[in-house]
Amino acid sequence: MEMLYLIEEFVKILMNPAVLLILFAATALGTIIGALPGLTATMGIALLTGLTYKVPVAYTFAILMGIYVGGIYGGSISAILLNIPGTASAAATAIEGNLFAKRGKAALAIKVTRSASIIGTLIGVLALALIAPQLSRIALQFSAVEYFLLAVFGVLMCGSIVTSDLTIKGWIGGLLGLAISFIGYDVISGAPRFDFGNINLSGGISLIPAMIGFYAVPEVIKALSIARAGPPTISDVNAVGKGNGIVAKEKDPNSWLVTFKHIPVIIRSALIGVGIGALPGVGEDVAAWIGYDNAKKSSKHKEKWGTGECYEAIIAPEVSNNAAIGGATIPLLTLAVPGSPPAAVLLGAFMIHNIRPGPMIMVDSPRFIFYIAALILAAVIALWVVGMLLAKPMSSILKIPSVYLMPIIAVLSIVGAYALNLKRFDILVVVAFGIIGYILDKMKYSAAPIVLGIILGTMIDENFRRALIVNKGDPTFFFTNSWISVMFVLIITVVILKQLLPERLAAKANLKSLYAFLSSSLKKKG
Amino acid sequence: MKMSKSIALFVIVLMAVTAVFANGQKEIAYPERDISAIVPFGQGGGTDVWARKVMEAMAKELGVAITVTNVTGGSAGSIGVSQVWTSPHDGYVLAATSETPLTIPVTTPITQTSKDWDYFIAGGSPGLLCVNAKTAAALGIDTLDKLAAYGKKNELKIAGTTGGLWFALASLISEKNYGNWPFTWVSYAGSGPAIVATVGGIDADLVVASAGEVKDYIRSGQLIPLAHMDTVAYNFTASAKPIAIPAITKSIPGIAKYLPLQQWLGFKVPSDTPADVKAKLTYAFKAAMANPDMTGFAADQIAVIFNKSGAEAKAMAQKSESNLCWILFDLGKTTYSPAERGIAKP
Repeated sequence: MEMLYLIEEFVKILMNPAVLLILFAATALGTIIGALPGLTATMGIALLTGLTYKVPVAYTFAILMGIYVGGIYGGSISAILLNIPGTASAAATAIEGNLFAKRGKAALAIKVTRSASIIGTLIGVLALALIAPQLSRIALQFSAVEYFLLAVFGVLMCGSIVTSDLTIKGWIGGLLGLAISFIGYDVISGAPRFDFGNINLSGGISLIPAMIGFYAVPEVIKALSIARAGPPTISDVNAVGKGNGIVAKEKDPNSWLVTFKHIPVIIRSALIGVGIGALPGVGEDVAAWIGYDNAKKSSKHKEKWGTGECYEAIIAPEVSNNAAIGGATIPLLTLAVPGSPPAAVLLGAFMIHNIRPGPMIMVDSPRFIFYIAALILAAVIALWVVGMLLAKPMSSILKIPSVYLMPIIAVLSIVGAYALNLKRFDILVVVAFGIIGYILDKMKYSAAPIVLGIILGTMIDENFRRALIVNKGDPTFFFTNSWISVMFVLIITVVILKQLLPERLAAKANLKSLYAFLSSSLKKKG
Repeated sequence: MKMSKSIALFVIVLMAVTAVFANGQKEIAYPERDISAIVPFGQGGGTDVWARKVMEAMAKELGVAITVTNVTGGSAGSIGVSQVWTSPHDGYVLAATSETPLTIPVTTPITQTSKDWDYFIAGGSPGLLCVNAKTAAALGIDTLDKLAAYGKKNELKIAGTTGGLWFALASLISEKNYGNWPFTWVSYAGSGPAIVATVGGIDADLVVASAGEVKDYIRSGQLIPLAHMDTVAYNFTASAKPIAIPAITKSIPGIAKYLPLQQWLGFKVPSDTPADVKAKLTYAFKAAMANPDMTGFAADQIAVIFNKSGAEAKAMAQKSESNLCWILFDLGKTTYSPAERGIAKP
């Protein structure tokens, strides 16, 4: 029955050329917004919500959903090309994606992440249309304990993010991120923390300015500090022996074939994306990380990770973060609780157009869920076409001399950070964290665990204390729930494995030996 | 290479300089450019929904766009509010507000009180104490009387945001001089998450929120309204069958001296904004409130329309401020005393 509704709404959209055209334009715009460092999907939706007050409802949501889908995908483009994730959800993609670019395979990586994004979105939308009520019921069963454990699970990834020398640097970065997230008013007690009496600090450090600082600014400084004869381009900077820039010597394999070779990874990552997205307030960022980590742990070719040849490493996070779109729309529509930051802005847009999402939506506007699902579905097609058209021009960004490109990126970063909340303090955050980020980069710390720590810090902190309050300070609650025990066992396993690693691998964090060690130590125990 | 580096530097400097000078333009007639409205709370909450509706109608009157931005964080919305205060007082940055930011001067180092702001109060919706249906069935507490009998002896968990109106009211229920019900307060970042946690029923049993915010959950039967946070009963008519909700004072008469404590929503501008700008805003606000659309919206939000501005609105804000701040002070939940901020005792 649900399937029929979905198909019917989908056909209605296909039959309306104006809506289709708008959807294509919006998806293209979303992709560009997502790709530009500092301009996020969240901001794109917020911006266009403001601009579409007077636009008929039929067009408004085509615009907003196009921006959403395009924006989440677009982030991966700059992550691959410049090692600057255009949105927070593309941070995991940057790790391996940029290595592809350094090998001169940027265009291929962009094509593969596009295929992955399309598949991810598709699975997310099917979940939205077919099992939204069931999923939102499960999401409601998540209490503070589960949220806390989920966040801990996320943070444990820090150790598995590749840093070029010491594994412990991942942990240090993660702790630094957690510490940053503790700045500001505490929701539980209403007390200020680490604000040193500064009103701006008491509001906390926002993720986007911090992320721009950690990723974009160091790249700008690095690119401008490389001296060469003639204006250097990013592809010169990135080129490491093989291939030169984006021009690949050998013919690239078909991106769809490449993607489909990884069906198990795709299915797992999509389920992770839908599930994480459906949890109120968690979102695409966390989904991408967990998708990445899961793929890495279960990979059969662990030696390939970090070489710029590992497709799983870019497919998994992109499938997950795009599947999270459908996932995040589930609590948005059925509980009026956004599953992610872009979904939160969408909620505002619904309200403006007198659509009240929530537990009564199936009674009040029964077709609306299917309408939104159909729009996302159509946006997937738009993404396919738009992605094809944009891949070439986008990857030629690498050919622009960095003396021209980098100032533009610097300005965009500042504008993007400011435009999100119109807070002047956020500009300071970008600059300060940019300098810290550059120093950390010189010391071979990866920005990824720091950003992960910032994303998850509040979730860990608030939910841990909330869980203690609810359970009257009795910490045994971790073992009293079946759901929880499953997650807890998972976490414990990971912790034990991770703790075994650093000592022997401190000297040379070679992935091959890392996993050989892992499997041998497992065998010994088993 | 040197050359291209200096080009890059020049471009950056040029952009910085133009950005600085763009700020210094002289205004002619208000409004000659777009206005921005800062909502100090999250999307989808009462303040946000009302601000968007009122701003949309006002934008039509003023002939410019009003962009609504959510700037969350701090205590009782202090970050968003202080951002408006530190912007130029020229009417181009408005602060959407509810009664909650009135507690900022007693919970944060920010000293501005209602004396420093001019208010435009659109409407508000009654406060309801709700229990989630599962807890109600399991513990047999589906009416106020049963809740009172149970809640006095057993510890129930109540969800909400620390600080603000609903916090003050919920605190009064658990305060030993009044309800003396041993509640555990479970704090969330906004009323939205608090309501959802209550509906989930694992982390919280009860929630106090505005009728507009819990309406759909009451209609779907996931939340059961037990008490109207006022001195009179309330008839909830948005459900299939009307629900008569008794006044909280029926069980806890002692709270009456603090009531009525109403929710109200609207926006505010610094008092020293030029008079002609305030006059223009008042005109647009009145016109927006007269819009028939607004009546329908208020009905949908189960709200009363206040439509107050000028001295009338300021008086209303000052009364709420005095009530709220002194309740929180009496309960020991403030960092600064209302007296030192010059807030009169109710």
